[in-house]
Amino acid sequence: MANLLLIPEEFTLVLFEASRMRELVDEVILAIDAPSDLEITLEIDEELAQPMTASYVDVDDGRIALWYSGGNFEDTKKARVLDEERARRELGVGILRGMDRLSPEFAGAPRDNELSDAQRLLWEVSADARCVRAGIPTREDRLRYVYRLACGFSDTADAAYEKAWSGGFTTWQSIADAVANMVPTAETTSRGIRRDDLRKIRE
Amino acid sequence: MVDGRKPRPAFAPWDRRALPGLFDVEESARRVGAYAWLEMRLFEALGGWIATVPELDVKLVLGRHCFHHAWHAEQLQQRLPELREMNPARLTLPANDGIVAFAEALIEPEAAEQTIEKLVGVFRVLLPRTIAAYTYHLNGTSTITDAPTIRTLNFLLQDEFEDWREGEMLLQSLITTPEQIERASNRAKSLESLIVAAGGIAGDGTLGQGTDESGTKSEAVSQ
Amino acid sequence: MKRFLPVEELARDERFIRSNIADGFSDPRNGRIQQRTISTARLQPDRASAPDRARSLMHGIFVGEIQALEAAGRTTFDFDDTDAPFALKLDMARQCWDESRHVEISVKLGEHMGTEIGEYTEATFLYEAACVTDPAMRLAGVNRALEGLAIDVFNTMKDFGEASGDPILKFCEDWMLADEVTHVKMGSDWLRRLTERDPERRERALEFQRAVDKLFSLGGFRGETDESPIQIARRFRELAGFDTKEIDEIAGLAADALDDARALLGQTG
Ligand SMILES: [Fe+2]
Ligand SMILES: [Fe+2]
Repeated sequence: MANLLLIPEEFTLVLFEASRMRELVDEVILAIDAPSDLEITLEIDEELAQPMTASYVDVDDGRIALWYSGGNFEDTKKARVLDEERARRELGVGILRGMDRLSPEFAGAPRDNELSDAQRLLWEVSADARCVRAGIPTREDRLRYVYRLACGFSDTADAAYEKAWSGGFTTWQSIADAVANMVPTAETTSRGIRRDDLRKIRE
Repeated sequence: MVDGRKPRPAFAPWDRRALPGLFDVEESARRVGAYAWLEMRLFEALGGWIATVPELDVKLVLGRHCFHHAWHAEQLQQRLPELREMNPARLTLPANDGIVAFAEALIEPEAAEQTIEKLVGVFRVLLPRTIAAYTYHLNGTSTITDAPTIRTLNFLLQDEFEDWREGEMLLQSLITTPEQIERASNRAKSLESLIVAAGGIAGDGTLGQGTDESGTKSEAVSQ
Repeated sequence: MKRFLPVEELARDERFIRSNIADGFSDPRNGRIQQRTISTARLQPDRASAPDRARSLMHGIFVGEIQALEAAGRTTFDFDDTDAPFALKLDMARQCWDESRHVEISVKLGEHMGTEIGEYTEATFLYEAACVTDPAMRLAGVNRALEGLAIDVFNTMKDFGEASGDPILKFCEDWMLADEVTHVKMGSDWLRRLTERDPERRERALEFQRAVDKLFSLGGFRGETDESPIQIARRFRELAGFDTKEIDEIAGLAADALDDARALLGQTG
């Protein structure tokens, strides 16, 4: 299966099993139909707990480099315990974005810590949608909120979200262009509540 | 142009209010005090129960209704000084010992598994009785002399009807098995017995048909 | 139904899971994290963990509102008219309705933010403060300390809504904030009235309020520096009837709590 380098080799602060984590990576690779010889470094910072979540996906020397806060994999109800459903979704999005980075269509993409939040999230939504199509469940309501925090609570941002969700962004340039065309978040702050939002809050 | 100096009758032709009423000042005050006493026991019970019911929607409805009944008690107490009782607490009394027994039985359920018992007491026994008693009062009392009580009762009745409907819908959604049907009817039966024995929420003659119908308390004023 | 319902008997459906405080203290990650610099602890939308932190705080607000509802409800029932006059209970009944709406708003906001009932555990500190048997102490602990904390929390969330351009969050938090100011005022008014002729009782109640305030400043959770996720809302606290001295005192407690937490974690970390 995947050529995986797991850091740390064993977990000591959280109750995650390294062997289970390796199995999850293989399950995800199978589900998203990724090449089985994919080279991946998976680093999990087990000192970071819920809700201090964060992640980075880059490619170093042809190897997908995934970095996560331990909080990204942690059960929100049981401290230090692995939440497998969350883990599958995080790994799925990470590996899919890593594969994007390996492809020529994403050759010009900056590293994750140089991406704006909006670029990062629009990319992530597109990967999340691919995960769902591959049978890895996501929490779409959660994703939409994170996306809106990054891209704004605006119709333009929502339209880009829908496009990403339906697989409309297949190159780095298309993501960068869509973000460049979004209404800046700051302009939405003093605006009243849109009718559709009110309807949603009353449902 | 309308001539304002031309005499007009004090009552317009469509204003059919009349002086006669079933209650004198004391009787209206006694009833209002009895209503206030029971509204108080009710809002306290609803408040206390909030923490004891696990059903989230029921918890939230109890929180809302708790205030409705506290507000009812306040409105009723505000009427008492106008009915010759300057210390409202002195007239905020149970109609009789039977009503005290009823209120104690109503409040008794506590366990998390007893939501049906709690709600049946309020929505299938007490609120229908309250609606009946308030309606009797506003239909029977003098529409001119006791108009402030009528106005208050009309405000209260609007809440009582809506709260009763909401509580009944909660009950219908909670009662789904033969065992639950049995529990609900047993509970209604035992509380009904107590309130019948008390003569209704205002005691004997709550709806004008009490055992003590000699007319001593409910003397009609003739025009 | 008995008077004074202990915290263990709070009724919940199966979605709710109580947090285990002991687990928190024994978490080996606590000491490590203290030695790292993770920029500001303030809730700001441009931080990587902002969505998860906001969601978890929102869930905390949701369970807090349930307990505030339960606490106000118990105060209408636990005391007879000599200990708690009808007018006090009427205020508490009104608070029940308000807290009931706050639960409703919190559920809707949770959905808006992508969380769900029971996604996080429930701590029951708030209701525990409402288990004291002296109504003056209960009003001081719940309506002055905890409703005061609610002012700080809602103001922090409202700022977050403003900064993130989230019109729904900002709108809702502003409404809840308006209610909480009246709840704190109720606490201040009743504390004064109940203890008018009993300065010792008032002092005991204020002491209890300080203890609760300190508990909720634990580890620097609430304060006036960048290390606190929840910021003290001075302007709204003034509206609610706190004077500058009292607010300074709460800020002082918060700073002490942060120092205590640093010392504690320094020892165990
Ligand atoms: Fe509240
Ligand atoms: Fe409140």
